[in-house]
Amino acid sequence: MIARAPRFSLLFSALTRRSLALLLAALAGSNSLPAAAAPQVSLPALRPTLEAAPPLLRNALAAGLAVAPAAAATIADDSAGVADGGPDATRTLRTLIAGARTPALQPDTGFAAVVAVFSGTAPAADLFATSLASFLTDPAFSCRQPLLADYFRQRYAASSPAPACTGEVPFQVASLYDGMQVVWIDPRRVRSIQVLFAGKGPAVASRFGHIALRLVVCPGADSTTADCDANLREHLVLGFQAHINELGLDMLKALTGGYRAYLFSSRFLDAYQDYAIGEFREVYSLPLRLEDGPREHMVRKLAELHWRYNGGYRFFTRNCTTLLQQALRLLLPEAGSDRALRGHYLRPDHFFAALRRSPLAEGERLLSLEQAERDGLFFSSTQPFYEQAAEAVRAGMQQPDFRTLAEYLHRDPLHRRRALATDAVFGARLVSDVHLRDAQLMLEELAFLRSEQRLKRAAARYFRDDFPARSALIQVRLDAAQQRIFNACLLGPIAQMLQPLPRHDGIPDRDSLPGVNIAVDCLAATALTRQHEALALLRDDRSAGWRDLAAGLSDWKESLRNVEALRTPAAPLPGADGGGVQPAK
Amino acid sequence: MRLSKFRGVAVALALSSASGLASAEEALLRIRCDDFSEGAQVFINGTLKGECPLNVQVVAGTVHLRARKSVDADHERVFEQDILVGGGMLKSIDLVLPAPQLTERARQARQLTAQRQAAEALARTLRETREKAAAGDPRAMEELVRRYSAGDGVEKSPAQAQVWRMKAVASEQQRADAGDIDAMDSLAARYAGGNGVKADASVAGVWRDKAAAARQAQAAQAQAEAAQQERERQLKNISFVEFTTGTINPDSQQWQQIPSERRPLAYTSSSTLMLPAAILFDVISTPSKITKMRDLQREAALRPASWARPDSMVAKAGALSRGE
Repeated sequence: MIARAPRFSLLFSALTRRSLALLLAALAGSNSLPAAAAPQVSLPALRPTLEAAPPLLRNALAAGLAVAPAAAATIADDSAGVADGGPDATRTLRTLIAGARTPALQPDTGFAAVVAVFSGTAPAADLFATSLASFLTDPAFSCRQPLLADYFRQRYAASSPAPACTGEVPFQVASLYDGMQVVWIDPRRVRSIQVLFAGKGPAVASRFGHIALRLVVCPGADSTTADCDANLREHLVLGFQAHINELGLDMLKALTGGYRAYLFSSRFLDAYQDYAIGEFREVYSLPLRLEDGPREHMVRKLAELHWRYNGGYRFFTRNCTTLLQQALRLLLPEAGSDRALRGHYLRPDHFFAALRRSPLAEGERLLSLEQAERDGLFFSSTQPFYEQAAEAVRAGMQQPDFRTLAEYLHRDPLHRRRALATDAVFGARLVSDVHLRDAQLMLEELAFLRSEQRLKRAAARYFRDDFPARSALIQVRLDAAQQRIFNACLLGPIAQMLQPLPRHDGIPDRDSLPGVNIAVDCLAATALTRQHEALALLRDDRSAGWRDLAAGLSDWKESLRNVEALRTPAAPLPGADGGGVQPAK
Repeated sequence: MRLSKFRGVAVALALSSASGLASAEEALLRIRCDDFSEGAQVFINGTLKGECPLNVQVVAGTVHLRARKSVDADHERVFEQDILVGGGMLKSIDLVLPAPQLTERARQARQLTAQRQAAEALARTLRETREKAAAGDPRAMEELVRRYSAGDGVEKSPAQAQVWRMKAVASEQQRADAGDIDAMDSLAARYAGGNGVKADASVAGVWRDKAAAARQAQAAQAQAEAAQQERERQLKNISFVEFTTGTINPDSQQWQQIPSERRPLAYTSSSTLMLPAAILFDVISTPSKITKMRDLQREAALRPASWARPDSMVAKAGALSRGE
């Protein structure tokens, strides 16, 4: 034993001495390697980087240099460029890391786990080397790619504090009338991150509910909690969902991974409208226990996930629940050891129940639903509200011709308008009784929202089934100007909606988001004229799809007129023929 | 023979005891539950039998199963079903409790509260109407005429109705003389029908003509103002054009008018399926209409909770958006 030990220790010392020599040479800006190394390596540009690296990583890099002469040779080839300020330190380090065989510079299971969360796939071959090199050389890396930065800091035991990230982060938010907007949020304005759960819905796909995250965005960084909670119009919802890249959901594709999944962002009020009003579902919002610093950091990590995640969707095994669970384990490191969250959940309702029991969330705030509703943490299904409104309207009418909310909604808008116009006593009551008028307005607004849903379905069917053939037929009859506008304003938006969302390696800054498509202003007067000319050719009354779409739009327009009339206090109610009718005095 | 008879009886007894049934007129109900239903109280024909999951012996025939689980002080989840069970049967029921509903106590409490609130609202409405009428509001005066005539919320009094009718006529006359078109129309109707004044067709005609002339002048002015407002609105709403269509010509005057820091960065500002469909029928043809649609949608989302749950956060957000 004594005989073996000196030989081993000598070899070890030799290696260590060599690596240290290399490192010292690098740090001293020396232009040459010790005589024992074959190629010349010039690493002056790496000096500050290596000095700033965590000790574990610095040692690993040195070890990598010692056992990877090929890598060193490559670096030597680049050294002239480095000395001249040419190829940057990032590329040099990437080459070094990619060529190193030391385990400390290899991707491990932790790295694979992080990449799996934001990509849904195994990491690309050079991702580790590229990312680590950028982590060492790019001051913006930690703020642009916080998920990987956290991983590297943890793996290499970085002792210096993470760089402070300031500034806003973008989210791509879709809404019906605003299209797709990029919304910039300062993480300091996010007062709370909450788990949003929508209860069981009417569709087969929603019988176990839906789960997502909610960002409670304040008007300003120092707003009061009350102001933040009431700022619903700016709150955002982030949820993993399938990207339906066609005009209609194919359940088989949803079950078998035929769709991509993204971490979509939407306005909270849109989500509330979809669930609590559109589908009469209850919505719960469970705050996570987070201090200011970790919460702001989590917002940045969510932003990265939002722009980066590009995995597949499967209804049972890669759904909103499994993907959120996987993400939370990365975003909240303590989630992995939490007893309540240890299980593997496939159903949103089960996962939410587990979160309510977990100390990571403030489950106690949902014990009283009444208080939770006051606090903006529970949102009742609005079905009983509309039913009460229907009862109030029915009681106020002279001769109501409906018994239930469903019957009210089933009547077409012209019929409803006629009923209002011919009931003079009820009309007078609507003028004097604000509560009753609001009830009537609620019913018409609900009818309008329902007509919007029907219109979207009819539009999807039309654009999927009838439009392609029709548009091909008429395009040959359009002149160049008409065709340009037809493509940009009708075909373009539909095609854009069906394309995959653009992805980024990290949180994009304003410069890296491409500019607006410079094409046509579709709402300018001349463009509209061209569109009308094209539409005249598009009209096809023999097509059932076209007729459904036309009927849906007519319904929508008339419902809208009913709502607009009721919204104007003490305005004359529209007559059955659209003319004004004064309520009786 | 005796032994085989004994065996047959023994087998029958063993079978019936295995199923827990004492006789062929009884049945066994096995009630199973999911995570949410576990622990719910189970009532059979109004009698508490235990907590879910459980097995219950029942008399064959139709039994009424009711299960309830408390959610909080005011809410419970309730499941009810009539079940037909044959004699000697084992029937399994999967209990799935529906969404929470108010308890009877809570419902009654809310009803009383609603009644009290309705009474308070009526009293408040009457007080406000009287104040407004006293201050000269013609609609308030007419409202009092209606109420006193019909005895709606007040004691029926034709005399009081006539007092307010005379005041309404006087107020209307004053306003019509000052150019109020609605007052002119109203006076025309009064003189035509003899409502509160002596019927006089020629006076009715005079007021009708005056109203028509005033309306014409008003329309001309409104047209000029609208044209000016539309131009200003289109300039102000340029950002909607950017974001809803994602397309703009950088050489256009509109683009040049946008401050550089506000120039759009949204690159996939594709409109959703709604806009192509709506544009198909020229429903939305100006940026201002898109603003209106969005505001309308937002109000519609906030209204039901504001109406039925005025102390909810959604109601507070609604009040905030209205500037209350």
